[in-house]
Parts: sequence; C-alpha cells; structure tokens
Amino acid sequence: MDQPVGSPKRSSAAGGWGALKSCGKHLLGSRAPLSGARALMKANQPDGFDCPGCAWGDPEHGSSFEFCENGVKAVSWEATDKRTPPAFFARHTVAELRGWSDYALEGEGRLTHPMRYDAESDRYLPVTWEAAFSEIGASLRALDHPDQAEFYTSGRASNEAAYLYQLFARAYGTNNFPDCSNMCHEASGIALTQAIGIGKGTVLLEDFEKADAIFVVGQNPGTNHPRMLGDLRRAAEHGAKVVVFNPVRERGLERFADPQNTVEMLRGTSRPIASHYFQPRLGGDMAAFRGIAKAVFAADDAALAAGRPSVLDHAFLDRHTAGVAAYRAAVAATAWEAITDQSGLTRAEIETAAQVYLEADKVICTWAMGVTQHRHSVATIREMTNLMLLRGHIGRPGAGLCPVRGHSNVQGDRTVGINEKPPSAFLDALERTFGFAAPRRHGHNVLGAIGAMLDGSAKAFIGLGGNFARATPDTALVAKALAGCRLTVHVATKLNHSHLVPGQVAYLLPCLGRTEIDRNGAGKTQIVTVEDSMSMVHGSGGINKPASKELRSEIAIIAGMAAATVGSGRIDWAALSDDYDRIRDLIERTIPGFAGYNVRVRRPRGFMLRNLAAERVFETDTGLANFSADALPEATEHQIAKSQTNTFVLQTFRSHDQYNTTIYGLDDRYRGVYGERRVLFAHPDDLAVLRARCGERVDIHGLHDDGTVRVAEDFRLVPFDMPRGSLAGYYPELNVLVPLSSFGAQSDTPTSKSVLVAIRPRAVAAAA
Amino acid sequence: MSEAAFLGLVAEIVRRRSGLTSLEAGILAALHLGLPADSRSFAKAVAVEHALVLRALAGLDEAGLVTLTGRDPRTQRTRYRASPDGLALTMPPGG
Repeated sequence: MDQPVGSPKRSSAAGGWGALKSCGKHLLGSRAPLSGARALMKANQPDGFDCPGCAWGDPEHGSSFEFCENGVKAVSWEATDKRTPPAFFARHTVAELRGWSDYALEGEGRLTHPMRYDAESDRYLPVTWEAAFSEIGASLRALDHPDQAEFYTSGRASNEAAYLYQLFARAYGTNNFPDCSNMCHEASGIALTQAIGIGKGTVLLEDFEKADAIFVVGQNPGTNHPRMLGDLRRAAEHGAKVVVFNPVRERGLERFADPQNTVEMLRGTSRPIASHYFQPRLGGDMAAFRGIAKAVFAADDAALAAGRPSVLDHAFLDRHTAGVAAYRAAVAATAWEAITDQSGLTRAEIETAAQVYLEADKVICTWAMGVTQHRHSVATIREMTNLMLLRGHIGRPGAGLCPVRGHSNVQGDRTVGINEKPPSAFLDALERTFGFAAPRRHGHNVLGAIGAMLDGSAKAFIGLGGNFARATPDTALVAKALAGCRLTVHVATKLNHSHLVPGQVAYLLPCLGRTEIDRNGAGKTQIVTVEDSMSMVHGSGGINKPASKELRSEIAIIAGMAAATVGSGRIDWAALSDDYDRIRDLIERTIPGFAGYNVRVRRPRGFMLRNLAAERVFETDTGLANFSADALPEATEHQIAKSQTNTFVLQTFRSHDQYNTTIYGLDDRYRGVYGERRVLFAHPDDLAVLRARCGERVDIHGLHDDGTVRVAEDFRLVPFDMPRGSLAGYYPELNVLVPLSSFGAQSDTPTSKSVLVAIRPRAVAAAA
Repeated sequence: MSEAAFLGLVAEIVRRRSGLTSLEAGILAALHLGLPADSRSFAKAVAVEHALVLRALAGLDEAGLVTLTGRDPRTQRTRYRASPDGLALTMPPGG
C-alpha cells in the first residue's frame, strides 16, 4: 500500500528500499513528477560530472569517481577541509616553504585568497582581485613584445578555459603556448598526424568490447587510468588476448579486482588481464614492433608460397595507404640480431606476439608515456601504426589506435587552440570572428619557453594550473628560469613549488576546482566541457561547495587578466565569463566539429568529435595513411649503457598515490612500497654485481654529457622484476636527472624514460 | 514502500518548494521515510551516481534544508540531517 505523503516517519526500510532503484531516472528528470517550470528546467540541466582523475572514457557519465581509486583520490584531494589562508603565508616565508616537499605543501589544503609576493618580507600577502588584474595587465603591456610572455596550460583546464586563454594570448599577440602535452603525448600527436592525418586515437570505448587482441604498450593503467583495467578485463573475459609490452612487471596489468564486484572485493580475489606479458628494454618498443612486422611478412611469404591467401589486408593497403613497399623493404633490411638486441626480447617472444596479431581479426593498439618519452618516440609510434595498417586495423569496429592521455582534458585543450603552431585556418577563423590580427609566428613549446626564460628573451610566465617547475626536466634550471622573470602568475587550487620561485612581480590566484559548483553573478550554475581520450566531449558541473568565497573560476580569472591587458573593446570578456554558453558558441564558430555544441553537450555522454581517420579518410600529405620506413635507432640508451660499467638506463614514473606532480600519499601498493618515495627499483642481479644490498641507500648520478652535474640523493634500492640494466623511480623527485637538452626527435618531449645514470652508495658519495 | 509513494512525496516537496530539483527533493523524502542519512546509501538506493547526490546535497545545504554532519575523506560518503526547514517540507499540511 502506498505511503501517504506526510505520514509518520517509518523506523525501518527493511524490504522496501529495493523499489527505489527505479526512481533514479525520475529524480534525474527524465520522467520527473515536477510541477514548477523552473524546477523542471533545472532538473533537465546536464547532470554530468567529469572525473578529473584521468582521461579514460566514461560510459556512465558521473559515476566513475567512486568506483575508481584515482577518481576518489582526485575528488578527495580537492574536497579537503584544509585551507591555506593568508594567515598561513604570514607564518611562513617563501624561502622556508622551499624546504618543504610538494606533498607537504599541497597537504596544507586549498588556497583561499589571491596573493601577491612581497620581496621585502619574502612572503605572499593578500591582494584584491582587481589590484591583481590591474598590475598583471600593466606588466604584460609593459613588455617590449607579446612574445616575451609565456602562457602555460595544464591539462586540467576545461575547453572553455583553454579557449578563452588562447583567445587572450592571441589577442595580446603571441602563440607562446607551452603546455603539459609537450611533456607527454606530443610524440603521439605528431606521429599520428603524419601517419593518419589526425593527432588523436581512432577508437571508442565500445571498441574494446569487440576487439580480439589489445596490444598495451608502455603504460601502467592500474596506476594511471585504472578504469581502463575494467575495460581490459571485460575484453579478456570475452576472450580477447591482452598483450602487454612493459619493461616493468606491473601487478595491476596482470590481475585486476573489479571495485564494483562486491564478492571479489570481499574475498580479495581478482581476474587475469594480460594473456602475454613481454618485458622489452627501455626504448625497445620500436624494435619489438619491427620484429612483429618481420614475422608477419614472413608469415605472408609462407602463405603465398603454400598457395594460401595473403595474411595482409591488400584491399585496405591498396586503397587507403602509401609506402607499404618501402616499409616492407625496411623491415627486410632489419636483421633479427638488431631487433632482439635493441628490443631485449627473444625472437620467440616476438614471434609469439606476431602470432596473436595474425590470429586476431580486430586489434587495438594502446600506449602511453613508456612509448612517448624517448628520443625516437615519433618513429616508434609510426612503427606501431605501420603494424596496425598491415591488416587494416583502423577504421572498423573493434580495431584502431588509442594513445591514452594523462590529464583529463589535455586532448581537449589542444583541440580548442592550445597550440604553439596553430593551423592557419584556425587563426583565420579567429580574425574573422574577433577582428584582431592573430599572430602568425610559431610560438614556444615547453622547451622553447624554458630556453627563452633562461636567456632572458621571455620575461613573463602565466601558468594556468599545473606545477611547471616540478613537471619539467632539470628542476633547478627551470626554477632559475621562473625566478628570472619580471612577472609570474600562477592560477592554482593548492600551493606547490612553482609558486615558490616568484618573479619580480608574482601573483598566486586561487581558482575553483572541477569538483566545485561554479555560479555566475546571477547565481546560475555553469558547466564546463572536456574531451576524453576517445574524443568524446561531455559537460561537467561541480558537485561541492567552493572551498572559499574568494575563489573564482579559471574562466573568470582569465577574463579578468584579459580585460586588464587587452581591454574589452573587441571581446566582452566579462560577458563570456558570465555565461559559458557564449564561449561554446564562439568555439562552434571558430573550430570545426562543434556544431550544435551547447545542445549536443547536454545529451547523455555528450558527443564525439568527428574523426576522419576512423572513417578511413586520411587527411595526410598523400591523402592516404602513410607507412614510415625509418631505420631503427643506431643505438638506444640501454645499448649504450650495457658496454659500460655502472651505467644504467633510468625511467621516471608515477607511484600509485600520485597524479602527475600531485602526490596524494606515500604508498605505491602495487609495487609494495609504503610510506616513502625516494626509492630506486632495480634488477636483483644488477644489485648483486654492484655489491649493493636491498634497502641500501644510494645517490643517482646523471651521465648526460653536457657538463651539468646532476645528482639525486638518498634513494633506497628496491629489487624489482625488470630487465637488467634498467632502473625506475618516481618523478618529480627524479626530474633533477632528466636533462633539458635531451628530447624526442620532432616532438621535443623530454626523454624521461631513457636517462643514463650511475648509482653510488651513500657512504662512498659522502667520502668523495 | 512503493515507487509511487516515494515519488509522490518527492512531487509534494517540489510543489512546496519551487526551485528544488527532484533529486534534492528525493533526498529529503528519503530522510523522511527513514533511509540512512548518508550520500552513498541514498545513491545506491535510488541508483543515481554518487557525484550527483553530492551536488544535490550541496544545493540543499546552501538552501538551509539539510545540515552536513560529516564526510569520509576517502570515499566522500557524506552524512546529513534535515534542518527544521527541510523537515517542514516533508510534514503533512499543518503538521
């Protein structure tokens, strides 16, 4: 019997609450029993919440964060009750805070007020927003040329913030857009643009359900994008082979317990993921894929000789690709000895991987930083793409290329114009729409920006989020670069080390996080939008009360700086800040693929940006998908290292309690490390050769031959399942060893996965 | 308890306080009907994403209809109780 409205409260819900499960859709507005028009409108607002934890796709928009360790950590990190108010800065000088770890700094909680650095007292002091904008604008206007300013973007920025930011910088007159993708997937963007005409992946989340084989290369989803493990696990349960290439044996890739499976969680059980786990040497992926291709061509030769059909997809190759003959010749010219020596895998292992590839009708290839942070990353991604093209594994269900991005909107930021080399068509559109002369000179990426700040040609640094000083190589050098600026501005949610190397004029501007409800002047809530690794664009509204009444959204802060710098004659910054729909309208007018933006983004899951490569239309120089016929590198770092004593190749990576430079905690549970971060993973036999003991503390010395002394002090040795000659440890602590002058060909990405180092016991180091 | 009873109470609350979303009203209705007063339990009971329940609670808190009494920093499970104004919305007319 129905309970009358207003009847006395029941004491128990036993046996009755199950019926409410079906109420969710009503409560979300699809069949809401509402009478007031205003309420109905409110209920029909886009209800998505985009988890800031990673860039993996989200089939049930809004639900992911609580079922994913990273999501929960990311939301909790922002939702902390701790605050870093002006009183905190009154207690601590900047010099004193420089002695704190990033973990300790961020552990103080959310910034609450705009602050200006006072050099005399070496402290940040509170300032009004208006005074901050006014001085920032005056400082930028006082520069000799707009190219003296650098506009850095973190992948946290929403599409709307990023678009407004690039509009501000270009209206001001520069294309200097160093951004976090320069340090991660730049190589993917460049290689894929050359090969298939678009610098993005070609698969949808649904393709993982249809694939027969998934090659997972140089990535550790268990820590970096845990929700991907759920899709890999489901694929494995459907019978797909999951073939892993990773130098480090990562437990999260071997087995996975589904957080949504109560029985598994209670019993501590898990299911296998990887059907095959190969451990190439650092930088050996290109050789491994060259080997697979060699085995595939051999299988093709054998098939033809036996009168069987070719194993290649000749219809696809003939109609859609260019350069396969040259590639086949390059593969033939590559000896197995070179392949096995450089890859670190045996021929049998490589042929096993090739067999999986040959037996699969639909193959997906995914990768991340383990591939992109080498000198030859672009060539490696081209090689992986070559293999996928051979059997037409692109542009059909269950098959394709999938670079998995790190930050939740790093892909979207590039889409909406954070690009130091913008396409002419985009600049033309800006000029048509806004009536200013857009700068045509290419600007600086991260390496260019650091160089310009170091040589004094750049004098201002504006940071939209992130922790530039710690994310970049050669930490001390970058700190010096920032400190040498006339103006530094950081838009941030929490204090970090980049804020502690202030320029002559320095501001710290606190902003809303993505988890916080963003209201305009009239009290109306606003949504922002982001693009995931599968090119899906969705809306996201905050879920928590802002940490401080003083906080402004990134968009409002950008608008404030822009109005104070370039004025509001051509662009009504305040109006854009007051209604993000207006920014989305401008994106629609200036960037292809966003037609109906404000309508489509309010649909469940949003919409997919059209990807022509996924339709087998390749906008390359040839109009076809291009094979590359690059030779393998003459020598990778591990080949250099193995001929020398006490020389290793170091890769930096994240711990499990870490998100880029943000440290959530001090544990790395999948790798068995608890309560510490200064650890160095090494093969047990390498420790034995060096007569080093497990647990011994060592210093790590950089061996890059550029005259700079690089030492990372006091790390504990941890034996680990990884190839001989390889080392691994966490960034940002180890970024002091990553040379600024070592970067990827074409991509300029720091070679953080191929750093030549020596290890020395602490005692010896002290005696020396 | 039936779905119709629950939704009936939700509708009544929305009728009494225009501007509330049905999800916000649903939280108040569930409190009145004895559902455990924490965000994850409510989210699970009505099969709505936890993030959206947290957002609705923030709205109710801002409107003075609930008081947030605690939050688990790891899971974000948030506990709450109805304020006098919130309770009044669920009471029978004149009650």
